[in-house]
Amino acid sequence: MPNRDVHGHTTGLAVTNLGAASFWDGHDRAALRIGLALIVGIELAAECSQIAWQSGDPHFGATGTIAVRLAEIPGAAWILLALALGGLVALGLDRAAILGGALTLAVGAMISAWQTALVGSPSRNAFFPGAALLGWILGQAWAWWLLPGQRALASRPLRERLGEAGALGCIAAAYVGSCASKLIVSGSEWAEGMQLRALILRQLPPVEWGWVAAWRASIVDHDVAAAAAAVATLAIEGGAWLLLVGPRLRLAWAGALISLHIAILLLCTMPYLEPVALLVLFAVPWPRIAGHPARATPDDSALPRAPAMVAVVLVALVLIAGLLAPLGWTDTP
Amino acid sequence: MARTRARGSSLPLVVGLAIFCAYFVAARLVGNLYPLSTFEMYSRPAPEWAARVFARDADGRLHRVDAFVGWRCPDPTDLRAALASCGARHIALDYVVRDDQVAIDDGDPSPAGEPVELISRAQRVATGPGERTHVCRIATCTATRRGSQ
Repeated sequence: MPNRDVHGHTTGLAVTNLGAASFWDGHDRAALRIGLALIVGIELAAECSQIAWQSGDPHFGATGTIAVRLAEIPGAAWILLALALGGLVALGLDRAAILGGALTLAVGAMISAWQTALVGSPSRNAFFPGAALLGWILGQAWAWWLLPGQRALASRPLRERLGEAGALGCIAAAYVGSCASKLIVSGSEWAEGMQLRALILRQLPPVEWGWVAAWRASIVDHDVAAAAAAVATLAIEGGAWLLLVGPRLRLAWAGALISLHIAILLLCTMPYLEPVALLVLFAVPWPRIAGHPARATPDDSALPRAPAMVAVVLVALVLIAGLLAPLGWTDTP
Repeated sequence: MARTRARGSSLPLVVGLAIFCAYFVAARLVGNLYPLSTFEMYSRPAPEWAARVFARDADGRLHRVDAFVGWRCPDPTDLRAALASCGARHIALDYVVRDDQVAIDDGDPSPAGEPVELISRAQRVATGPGERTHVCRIATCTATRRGSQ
């Protein structure tokens, strides 16, 4: 008798009850999928609304071909947003999810290029949801090549299980990449905390709480406190690969990363709501909180770990990135 | 047919690590091209001085410039030019200066504003003896607190 997934579809696979990779194993990931689409959609809507008014404001001098050409098209920002949201609806409904996600990423790249031309630097807040979306569709593609054709369509749990793993891979790479950038550009000097102190000095605190003022003052006035904050930042960012290891460690490290974002908000008045939303979505054991009983998950032990096509796609991603390097924005303010 | 195993699948870990590596390497090659990024914000060594434009009210309290609306200044205020004339210590973040300029320029000047000074406050980043703070007056204007108009 064939096994059925949580939707009642035939999977063609044996099942196991001990998928230890995620709190979502054994549960329908529709909330995860829709949550990701919502976070990406809200972020892109915010970007497009900013672009719509910035492109008509003389303070924001449009430079570059993309910005000039797009600014000439009435409602271009809203057209781009509609296209991106169309792709996200497909992703959210799990209808042509990979194509829908790819469409959103392509449109998102245009929105980002336009925003960069207007403002002078890209919005990294938007890159976190984009990275998670990239990982989600790469993971889905991985499952598609593991189970070619109709079997992949029938096995949504496996596709979305690997989509979740891919999204976490990109989120983790974003944080580790941030840590690596600091060490590559400034070396161990970054750990002295002077850049962090400069950011504090350039901002007013978002709240007038005494303990926040004392915390800020301690970093501004004491080198040891500044260095401790900088080292903690590097350690938390650099350890983000632990998001991949298992659900409990993921929850713990997501807590550390969210704490880091709260500290950055209180000290440097810089809100990073998007990565926090992604961490809350992907790391918190929502199925357990909701009290949903776990169902069986597909047993993938008989499947190959990495089909050749996956390696080709990932290497192609790296090579394409290398080819597109002249288009990448690299200056640091 | 259903069977159980003593430990979880390694497949998601393999997938996560492979995609982690691909994103990391691709981002290092391209820099910043959505959705790839090295997230290199504020990775450079700190400047010697950190400056920012503030609005200083009659009580001497500092506020963000966009905490006020309806700016009315005696002359057109170009913050970038003003900061340049304040000296080498007064180098602020470019996008913050632009946002402050937008806050000053946008909206109709308020006829019933309170006196507000535009200043640049530069602070030396390193601790130790010597001058740590330098304030440069940019303009004396009137403006209305946001939300009170």
